[in-house]
Amino acid sequence: MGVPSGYTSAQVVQAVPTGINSALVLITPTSTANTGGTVTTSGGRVTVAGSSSVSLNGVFTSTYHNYLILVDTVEVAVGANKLNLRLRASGTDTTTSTYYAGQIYGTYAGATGGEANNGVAQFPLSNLQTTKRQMFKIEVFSPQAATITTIHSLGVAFDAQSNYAGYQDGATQYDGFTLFMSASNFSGNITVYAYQKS
Amino acid sequence: MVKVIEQNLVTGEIVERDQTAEEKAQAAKDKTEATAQAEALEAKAAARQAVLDRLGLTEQEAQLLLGS
Repeated sequence: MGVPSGYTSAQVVQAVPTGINSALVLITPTSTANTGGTVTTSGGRVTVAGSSSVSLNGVFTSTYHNYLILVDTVEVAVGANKLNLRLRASGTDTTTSTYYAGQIYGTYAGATGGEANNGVAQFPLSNLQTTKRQMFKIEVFSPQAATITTIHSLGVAFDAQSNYAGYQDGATQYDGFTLFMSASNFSGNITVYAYQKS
Repeated sequence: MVKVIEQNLVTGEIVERDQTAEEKAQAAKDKTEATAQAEALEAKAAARQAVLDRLGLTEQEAQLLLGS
């Protein structure tokens, strides 16, 4: 399939049936930065191996409003540590206490609960365990708008499922994000898609 | 020394550098806060268990009563 008008070669439009206008557009970052470990990118899929932090730059643009981030096959080196997200602009993470997120979780053993994050320095995703297959589905709404950026994350960990919903309070127009762990490193694959505007 | 690797996926340029002082300070701060949060959760779990022990309830019985 050729590159349609209005798209760059870095953006691949998925085929949809005639008459269906909605689709996801695969986004390839313009650059990555990782702390420790290795990061490779192929066909828009960013593969992380043993990094405590990985940043994807140039993924949010004014072309689209909303984005889907899939993080699959996640493993961590040190268990019971949390993976977090920070929004970034021009290569700099927002680290101020401007992230708000409520959590609802349920363990497979039946326990339920939640966690409040009322103005913290990162958007939490989930506690993770070692060498277990885990995944995240993260939706980021209007990161390029000069207003709050809302975020919803569904996390599937080894022993529980976890939902975080909230926002980052500010007027920065973000072009990327960082996934990081404070006391471990992680491995997995990151793929970013944009939702078509119409 | 922790290294940061920057890859420009447009030009193919790869730069390996040391963490900046700011990055190091932020990482240390994040680690301190994560440790404090984990300790607080452990303390909360221990306090909950102490209450259950005083009441003579198992975790499963507490879940039946409290729904959590």
